[in-house]
Amino acid sequence: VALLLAAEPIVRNSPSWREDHPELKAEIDVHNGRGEPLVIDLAISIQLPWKYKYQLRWGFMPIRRLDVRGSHRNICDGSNERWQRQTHKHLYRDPYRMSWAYSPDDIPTTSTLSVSPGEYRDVFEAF
Amino acid sequence: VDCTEVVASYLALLNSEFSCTELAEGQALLQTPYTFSDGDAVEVVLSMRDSWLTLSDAGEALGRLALSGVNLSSEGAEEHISSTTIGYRVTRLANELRGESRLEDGPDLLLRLTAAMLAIDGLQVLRPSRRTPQFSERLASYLASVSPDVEKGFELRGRSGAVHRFTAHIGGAKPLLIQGVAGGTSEAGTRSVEHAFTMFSDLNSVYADRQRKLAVLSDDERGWRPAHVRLLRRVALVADWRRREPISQLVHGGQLSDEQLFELTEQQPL
Repeated sequence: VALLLAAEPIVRNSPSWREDHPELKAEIDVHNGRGEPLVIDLAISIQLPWKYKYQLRWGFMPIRRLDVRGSHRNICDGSNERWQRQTHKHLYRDPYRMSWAYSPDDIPTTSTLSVSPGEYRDVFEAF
Repeated sequence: VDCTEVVASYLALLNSEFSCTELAEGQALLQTPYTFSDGDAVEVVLSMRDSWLTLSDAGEALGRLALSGVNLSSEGAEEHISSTTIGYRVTRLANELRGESRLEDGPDLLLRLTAAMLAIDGLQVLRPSRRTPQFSERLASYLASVSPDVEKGFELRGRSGAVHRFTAHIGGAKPLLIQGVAGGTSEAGTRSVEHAFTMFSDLNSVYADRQRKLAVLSDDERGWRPAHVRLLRRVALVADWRRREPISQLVHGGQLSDEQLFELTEQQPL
């Protein structure tokens, strides 16, 4: 994963959104110096627009996923650390696969259950 | 064994782990004590109208399955999803799982819906094993990372009338047609070389200049036949995928010699 992310990934295209009830979805190719198949998936709930996910995927395998205002528990490492409608990021780690999450400190504040103007873009750029 | 005590403490745990967030009049988001396999909470949108209850997963279970890399429209996935929704008697509305019941049957519906959501989560095993990307995909992705003017899968009609599909094309004042060639000394490699030779040979005068055409040979462990490299050099520039810097220079209009792009060595098979 570190090698993939070190390969100067770059996003050139804007997402083209499609409605896939009950979510809005988009995929964006991430070009990179190693020529690996990296893709960013975007999924926003239509019913709960404040709850959305941005994910980086290598081929079919997710390697990063930001869950905005999601609830989560780190069961895998035994810590039971909890997120209650709080933004957290899943990070692929060999022992835990995608089950381990942390609080990213580089994502704009998403503390209320409403989406602020420009939030989707700001959070995407930070992701 | 005192089952009653175990059940009682289990129910107490469940009871303490439920929480409810009001979304609108008559609608709430219910967080259950259950989690998906990655530790995310199983949540259900609950809507009440008169004495009827509607529970919905708001697309969470199937949305997550799709994000995990499973193609929801594949025959295998469709079959397993249908078995789950039938087995737990919940309705699938596109990617949303839902159910309706009288208020008094709500607990049973909640039990069935959460069980269906977790069963769907378990279908992640249907994710295809990691596919090695084709060389042409890797090359096109690399080219797009070094230049904004790249068009992937560029089609061009040759002098023969045949339409040729190249790996990529770079527009601008000095257009460059690029074809990835993979397979090394194998039969597939020979076919790939011959295919590139045919395509480059069939182009019209716009691409008459050899500098406007580039064949990139993959980093195949079998190596490449010098005869094949020389054959391609008759119609195009030939670059080595293992050496990206010269490729990047060419893409940005640089002039490089054949040897700077691909070094023929004694180790390569004859």
